[in-house]
Amino acid sequence: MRRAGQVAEPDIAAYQRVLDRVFARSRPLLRDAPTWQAALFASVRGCYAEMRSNPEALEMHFVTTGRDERVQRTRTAHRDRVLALLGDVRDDVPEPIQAEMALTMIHSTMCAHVAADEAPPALDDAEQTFATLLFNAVPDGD
Amino acid sequence: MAQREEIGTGLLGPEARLDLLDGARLPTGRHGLPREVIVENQRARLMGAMVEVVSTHGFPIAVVERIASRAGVSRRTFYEQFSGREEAFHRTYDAEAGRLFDDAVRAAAGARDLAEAVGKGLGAVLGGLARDPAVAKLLIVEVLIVGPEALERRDAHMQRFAVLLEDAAITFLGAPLPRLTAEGLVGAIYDVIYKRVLAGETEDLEELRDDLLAFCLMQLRPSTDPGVG
Repeated sequence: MRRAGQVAEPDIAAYQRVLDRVFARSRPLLRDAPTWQAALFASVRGCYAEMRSNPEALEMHFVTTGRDERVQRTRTAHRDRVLALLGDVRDDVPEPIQAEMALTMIHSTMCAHVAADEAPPALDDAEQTFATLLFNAVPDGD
Repeated sequence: MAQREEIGTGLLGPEARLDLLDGARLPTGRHGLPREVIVENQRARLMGAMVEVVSTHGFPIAVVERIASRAGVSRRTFYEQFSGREEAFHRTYDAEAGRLFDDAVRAAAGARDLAEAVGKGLGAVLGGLARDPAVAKLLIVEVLIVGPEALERRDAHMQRFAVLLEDAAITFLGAPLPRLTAEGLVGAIYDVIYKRVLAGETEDLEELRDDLLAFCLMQLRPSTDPGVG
């Protein structure tokens, strides 16, 4: 595990490139889903699939982010642009704080899973977590 | 605005902290003050200076010279109190994070249901941070760049909040939360606060209380109370 202050600039840049790929694929996922919850589900599923294929980025996204201020800042900016895109492409978006809390809760829960388990959750298991948090506990938008 | 004046632990609140740093000093020379009073005062000044210097300049630039100067004490006095700036940060972090936790526990004490307990606890945390943006910056942002021991302390304090949520669920819902639910909620709230503190919107944190409470209750209730939320 990386220690605070040890993340090199090239590693941040590589992580940013992965996030940029995730973001580039997010527009149709967010736009074409039937509801805003389904839109976030498709988006975070796409993000997690990308992370699982990039172990370094996955560690940055779920482990190092809580231990390095620059990674945390990078991830926060990515989350904000996804939320902004959600608002741009959909008419049924909820109050911004609701979508933000949904994403932060999903991320935080995945961080806890990654920290607690020996290996990152399989995509199927992660989908179950996303679905539980998005469809069981988040109210419908206005 | 509520003021805290527990000088012995360095917990002062923003105005009292600045009063301590910028106001009248203890008399010098032969004043007859007990040694422990002087030591406590110096410690409180150094911890207050840590908050001010770190929040203004960031931890990397918060060197001992600068902290001691802001506290109005010598480098020698600093090293009589702390082994280095990391230890000074850790002590300050523990004091302020502990104060926030104690405030949340006190606020939630006597609550009649889960919503009241979580709402009052959240209100205490958000209000405490909003009233002292310098401490918020130290606790939420700067802790990430100090080092592994600071992160361990941050993780331990977050775990205390998670346990608080788990205890509230057992008390008011009669059943434990699903695995990692409390940790997930505390981490999510930290993330939401981090973004506001980073953006300089710390003083608006209390406005989030109702939305965060509603989200927390929806996450806490479904598994044990399917008909609610």
